[in-house]
Amino acid sequence: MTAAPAIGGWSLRRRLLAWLFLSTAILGIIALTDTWFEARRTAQSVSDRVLAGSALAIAERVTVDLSGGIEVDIPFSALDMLASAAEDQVFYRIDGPDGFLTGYETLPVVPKGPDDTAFTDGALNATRLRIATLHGQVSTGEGILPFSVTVAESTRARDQLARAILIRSALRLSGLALGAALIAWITVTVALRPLDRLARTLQSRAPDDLSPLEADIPSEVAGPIGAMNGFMARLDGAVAALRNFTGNAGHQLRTPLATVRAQLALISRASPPEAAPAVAKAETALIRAERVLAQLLMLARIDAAAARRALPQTDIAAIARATTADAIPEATRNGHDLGFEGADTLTARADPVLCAELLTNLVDNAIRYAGPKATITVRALTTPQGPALEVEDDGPGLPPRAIPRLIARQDLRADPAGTHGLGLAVVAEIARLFGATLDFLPAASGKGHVIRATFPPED
Amino acid sequence: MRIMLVEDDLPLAEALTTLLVQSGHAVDAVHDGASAEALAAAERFDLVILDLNLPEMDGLSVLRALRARSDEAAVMILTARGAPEDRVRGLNLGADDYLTKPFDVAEFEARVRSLLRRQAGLRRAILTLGDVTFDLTSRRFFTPEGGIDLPARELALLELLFTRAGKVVSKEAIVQSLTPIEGSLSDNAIEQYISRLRRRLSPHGVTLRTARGIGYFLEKAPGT
Repeated sequence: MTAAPAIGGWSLRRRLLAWLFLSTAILGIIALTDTWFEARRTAQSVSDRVLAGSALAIAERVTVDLSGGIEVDIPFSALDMLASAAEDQVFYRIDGPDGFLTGYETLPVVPKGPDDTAFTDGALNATRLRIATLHGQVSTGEGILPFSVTVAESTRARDQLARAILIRSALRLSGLALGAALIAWITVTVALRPLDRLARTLQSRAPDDLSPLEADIPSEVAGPIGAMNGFMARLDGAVAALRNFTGNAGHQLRTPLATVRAQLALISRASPPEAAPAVAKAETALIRAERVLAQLLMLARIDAAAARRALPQTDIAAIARATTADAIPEATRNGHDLGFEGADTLTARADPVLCAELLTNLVDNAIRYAGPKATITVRALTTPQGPALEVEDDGPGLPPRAIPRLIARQDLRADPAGTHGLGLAVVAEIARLFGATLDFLPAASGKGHVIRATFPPED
Repeated sequence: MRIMLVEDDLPLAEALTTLLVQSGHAVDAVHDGASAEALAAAERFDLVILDLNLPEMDGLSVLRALRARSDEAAVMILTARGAPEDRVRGLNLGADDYLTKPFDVAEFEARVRSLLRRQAGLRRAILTLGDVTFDLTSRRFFTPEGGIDLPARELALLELLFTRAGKVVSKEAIVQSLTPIEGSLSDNAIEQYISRLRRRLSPHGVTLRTARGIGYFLEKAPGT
């Protein structure tokens, strides 16, 4: 079965149509064969009746002559009725008690059957014929004289009639088959529409969306869809377990790190001053490890938020105010002027914790790069593109060429301990999750720059 | 001061106990929630340092039980759960501070000191910032030179800022807190009270700062 793999890949529509065509073709051939025989029978019976009539018309003109022999006066009307439109050839012969009397001597005579008129198929000089012989008798007054009238006609008209009947039937059948195919095509299209919808739903899904399919589907495919949903639920569980692993492992690591920190503090207090550099190095390494851990946990949180179906409606202005308020005392102690401007409330779809994380990173970033005594302003504003949060500082600004590298996702994954631009990588990651765009703009005052996250507009 | 340390990780509990004892505190370390609850019910502590992930009974339940008994010990939550919503839950249940593992030891010690100082103040019903003290019972402010007499709305405003010293208090919160007295309060009026308070406080080592666009906060003036 070499064709099986090819058919295996056929669409349902193609399969259904192929089956329909195959069955229609077989039924059509059977029907046409039957029609052919029926047509021939019909044509033959018509032709036979005419032949019999013709033979009878001739037989009625058979008389006994004065010498007691048989005499026949062939009426032309008798042969006329045979000379049809198909230009058939007509033959006859009359035989008396002593044999051939008149006509075509080579024309075969059909032996007497149960009826007065006997029929057969024959040939004369390569012309196929239908032959009828009427066996009759005439009375002479003293006795009876047997005679036979044989009439033959070439079969062209009969064949033409049969062929015409066959062609008409074939045309009717083809029309029927085409109509059935059209109906099947429409039916299949309509019937498959839920599956098409299902396919579109699946195609438009986010790659990590493993929620059950809830399309309006016909009962016939409910089984496979149920199985698929079951599979996706198991997969979702596995993915969630994997995702939680990062978070859980991260949390597990925190306590031992805290222990090492505390022990290091004890060591540094108890040991001689010579040990101080070693302790300091150990502490630096520890701080690095802690930063990696914090980063991993943040990524785990982002992944967990990405796995949720929809982001909640969040007052991002309130988050911006709270985040700024938290950062102000520390920033003020370090000589910066950190403040907030903008709307009292501004809603967008965002995870509140990650939104706060995004802003914290932007503010930290501004404090880090803006230089001493910087003025940093957090804003919540409505732009033509949608609600936005931005952080402006009056520092020298980032070199524009460095920005794509700073926000690249792979930087974050590959080098979570990297110190340069790490905050922006987290910001980019969170913005991506929110579907927000990040823009780097010059500050309106002309000094410094603005990093703005524009959220998708509310629909 | 007496401290109960609730931490199920033995090496960490040991190290923190040593650190706290070296600072001159009496420390009782327990390693599960049920023991913590039993000990807290029997003894009186100034500070409870509480891990959240504990065997037998989790830290938040211990905290809830503590507050249900009106135990006024200061509570510092020390946990590996760093999510802000955990922090909010802990603080809502009546924790006074929240420190996420791993932490800087110096910061841990500073916070313990601050909590104990505050606790001592609360025991005596007195809060201190710079040279200014606030008597919670009489609702009066004092400087080394004597009591500060404030009009009612300024007193209410300073009380609000003083009890949340070091944290930004939003204008909204100020309006909400003062409206019963004033009926309604304009931004201008708030600014007037603030500038008057600022003048009164600045000679006493307390700075009243503006959190631009949000509100105000009090902090100890640098160098005091």
